Amino acid sequence: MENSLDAIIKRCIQNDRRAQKELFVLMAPRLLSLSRQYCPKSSDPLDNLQDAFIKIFSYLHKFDSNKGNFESWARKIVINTSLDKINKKIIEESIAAFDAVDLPVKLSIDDVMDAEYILQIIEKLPDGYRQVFCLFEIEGFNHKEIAEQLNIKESTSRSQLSRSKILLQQWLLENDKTFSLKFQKLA
Amino acid sequence: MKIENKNWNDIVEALRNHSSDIDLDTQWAVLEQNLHQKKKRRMLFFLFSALVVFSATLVIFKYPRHSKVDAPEFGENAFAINNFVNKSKGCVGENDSSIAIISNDNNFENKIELKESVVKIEENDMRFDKLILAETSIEIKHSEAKAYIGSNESDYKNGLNIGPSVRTEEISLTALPPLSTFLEVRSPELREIEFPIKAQMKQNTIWLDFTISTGLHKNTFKALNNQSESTIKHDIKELENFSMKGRLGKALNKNIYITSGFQFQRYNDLLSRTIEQNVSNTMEDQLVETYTNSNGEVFERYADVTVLTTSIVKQKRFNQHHILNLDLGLGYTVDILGKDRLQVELGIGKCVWLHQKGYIQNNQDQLVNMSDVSTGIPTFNYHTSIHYNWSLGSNYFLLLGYSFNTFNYRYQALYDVQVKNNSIDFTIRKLLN
Repeated sequence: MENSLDAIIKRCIQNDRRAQKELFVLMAPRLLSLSRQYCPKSSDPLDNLQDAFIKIFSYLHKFDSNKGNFESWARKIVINTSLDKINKKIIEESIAAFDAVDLPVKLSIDDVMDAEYILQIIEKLPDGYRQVFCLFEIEGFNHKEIAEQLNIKESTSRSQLSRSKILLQQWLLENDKTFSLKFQKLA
Repeated sequence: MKIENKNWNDIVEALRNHSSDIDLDTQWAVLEQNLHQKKKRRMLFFLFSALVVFSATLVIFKYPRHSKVDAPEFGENAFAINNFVNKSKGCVGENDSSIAIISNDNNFENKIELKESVVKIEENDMRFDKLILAETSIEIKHSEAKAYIGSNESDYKNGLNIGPSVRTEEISLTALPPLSTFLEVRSPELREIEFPIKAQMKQNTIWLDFTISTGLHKNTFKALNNQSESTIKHDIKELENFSMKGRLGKALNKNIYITSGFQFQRYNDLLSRTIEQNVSNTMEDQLVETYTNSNGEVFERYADVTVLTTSIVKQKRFNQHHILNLDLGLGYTVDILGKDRLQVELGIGKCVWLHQKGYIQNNQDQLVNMSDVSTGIPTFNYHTSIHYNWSLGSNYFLLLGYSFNTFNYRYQALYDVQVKNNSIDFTIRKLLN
């Protein structure tokens, strides 16, 4: 698998259109999920994915397999492309708008552990909350790193995370009482 | 504070591996079209860049700042001779008792005191001014240290870099006969500081560097003609330099790249120059002349001529010349510590002395239009450079660079030469008939 991916990448660097399509077919579904996590509400995740793929094909020659696998590299590009589209102002404003956030429409998913279900819940989070939550909980960044990436204060990152957890907890409990995910009590 | 639940890790893993539904064919069709448009935009970008370079070059040629070089009267005095020494063969002598006056077509007169069989001619004030067409070959060894500070928000963004450039040039000049038997000049120092503006535009694996720099310096240097023990005082009053460089690069892979570039340079120099030379020339052929004295006696004069020439070239010269250098380079670049970058490049090029115009002004304030006679001869040269791109935080970088170039160029130009103090020894024999 890895070898065939390497071969596809090599052909992509040489601008082989068929290889580019193969890579797109291989990576697009997963990267779209990522785009949905990070893309601001003002942008379409599919458009964002298109922009990210243009960058991936443009800078593919810079990819160094010794520094990490291709998927991690591509994920970074998708995340950065998404984060480029939000700005500090939006994030700061989203704190002020916290009280006005409506609960999402009730979801009717049979399997509460389904990743699509969780993703749809996460997608409902306001801009700023969602990106901080995903960067912290899914990508494993600390607040300092998040603050640098989003160009916000560390304290903003902390409060965004706390509030996103409150929201998620409320929504999950509202939508499915059987959902077993428990958040630590927030201070 | 991480969410602590044993299920959360599973959820994160599930989210990481989650695939969303997507109409792959439709989305690929859109992406393919976007990629195609990007390619078209890239072509437009390079066409636009080429247009800017072309326009700038055109403006520089079209509107020279020193319009007086085009004055028509400069051409009137321009003429050239190939070898002034042999002109003394055309002597005609007149004799008045024991004194013979000889004039030749170089318009100087010799007074000859006749003795029985040997005449000693001492001519201490033989002068003539001539314009001589000479071929000059110049090699400039050009060392340049650069320091740029630039913005570097992303490797792939375009940037504008500004910083000083310190340049040292060593000029080696060889003038071919007939200016002198051999003249070689080595100038150890010519320094200037320039402030180039460098714009860098990158598209995918192709990039374009465009640098405009200008500098004004005043400099005096002396050089020793090590072949004929003469001293040249070359006093540059003012040298204005404008250069424009464009370089197109393409990465072949992560480390290796090729470049193709041009360098256009225009120099305006206003200088006064004095060249004093003592050159001994021995004519290999024998001078044979006949003349008749006042008594009707016919003499044949044989001369083994030794000419000791002290020549002085004095010039006030304005010179504007344009050089175009086209080159190809091969470079190697490597990332250091994940953020800095080292770059080494070697290349060869072809240099064309495009155009030269200006005037020279001799002691008698005669003007000669140099553009009538100067002709460029293409030559090859090479260049090498080393750059270290030092990252200053995430937004800025400091680029330290050193480059070494040679510019070889040859051209023919007209020189104004004043020759004096010739000494000629003649042996005169009376003809038997």
